[in-house]
Amino acid sequence: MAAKRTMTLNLSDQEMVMLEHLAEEKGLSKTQLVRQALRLYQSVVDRLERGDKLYVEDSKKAEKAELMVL
Amino acid sequence: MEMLITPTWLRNKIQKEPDIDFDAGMPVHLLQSIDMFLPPDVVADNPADEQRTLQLKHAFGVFIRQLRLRDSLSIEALATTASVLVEELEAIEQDPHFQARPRTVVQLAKVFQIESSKMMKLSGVAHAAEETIEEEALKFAAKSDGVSSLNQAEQRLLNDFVKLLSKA
Amino acid sequence: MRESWEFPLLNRQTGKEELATLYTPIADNNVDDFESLWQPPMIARLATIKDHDELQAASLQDIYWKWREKQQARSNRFDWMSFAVECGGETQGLMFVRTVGFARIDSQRNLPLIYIDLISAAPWNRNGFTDTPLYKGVGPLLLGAAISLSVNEGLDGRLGLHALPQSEDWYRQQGMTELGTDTAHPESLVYFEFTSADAQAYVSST
Repeated sequence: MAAKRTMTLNLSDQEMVMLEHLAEEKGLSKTQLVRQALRLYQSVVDRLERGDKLYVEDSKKAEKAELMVL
Repeated sequence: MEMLITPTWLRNKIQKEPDIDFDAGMPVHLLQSIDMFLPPDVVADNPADEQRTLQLKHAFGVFIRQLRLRDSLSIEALATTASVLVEELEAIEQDPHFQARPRTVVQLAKVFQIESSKMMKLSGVAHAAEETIEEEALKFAAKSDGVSSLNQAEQRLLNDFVKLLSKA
Repeated sequence: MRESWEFPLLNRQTGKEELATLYTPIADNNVDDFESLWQPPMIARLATIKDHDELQAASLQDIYWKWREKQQARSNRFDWMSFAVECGGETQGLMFVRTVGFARIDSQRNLPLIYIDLISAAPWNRNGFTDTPLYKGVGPLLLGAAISLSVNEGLDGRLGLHALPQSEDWYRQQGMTELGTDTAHPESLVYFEFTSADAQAYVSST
């Protein structure tokens, strides 16, 4: 496994609370949550850069809303 | 990464392993496109159908040969460019009983820049729903057979056929 | 950086064990094997098939899949990981997983899981493709690897996948929970999930 590097994150109180809350909700450590978030971000960014669009579908399957990043 | 399974674990699993496949995930739409590669639904039960199939395959062989001559390629050169077997190309050109393989047809389509779906139909790999292509192929072959290099008239005939294919 | 582990597979023809290596990620030689060893027999087989039912049964779903393109697009990324099983100098199985995914079973709804995007055996190892499949054990090995990855990532063994029709029974027998036909899937395949409890039981079982 590649060597790990340590980083200090500067987050606001609110961001920290959100990070802790999400981690707890998903059963992950804060590091694991950040890793998951990075993957998701890479995945989204990659598709957008290829010109693909990401849609979110309403749970009642009525309409699709377009997700765009400017 | 820590592997949670051990060789002993796998041995035990193998003993109980059913004879069932485990393939999962889907190369999307692939089953639909493979369907296109199935041989014609018509099973040649009657001699007339069989005869027609032979004629069509013969026509395909003539077509490939004419394209090859147009581009001044030997069979070996074409085989190399298309990344197919020399033996198969020879069989396509010379043996009307021979059924070209889907990949070979696709490769030839790429080399000669013909739509692969059209090539599929001509070669008998895919079933042509409309008769026009088949009729035109037979007509073309009748006029082109037996030539070892192309004169102007034959070039024109070939070009006309290729144009017809792109419109069909 | 490639990691590897050794595991025994069963050679059905000799009845003897052979040492196989599990690798992550997939490398060029694995893609080369797909093109030069897996595809030709599948293409030859396709030429003999007469109808749609035979096609379904012959297990040729990945015959024209663009492995090289996919491998290049998905390498050096964190949202994708891949595994290969090699034995006898040839690639016997391949797997792509997405490391970002969310569970659908009620008991673990929206918890993160590893999604198996593609898992496949070499055609000569497939029961559908040949009457005499060669190596036994590639499936459990890859499934066990996916569960290990899930645990390593803090996802507690949770896995999700869409099974091909001929494989549904296999996943049921491994203990995965079936959620039925997924109409949102382009081929309407059946979706299976491992709960973290079942996954951990799977890798601990003797």
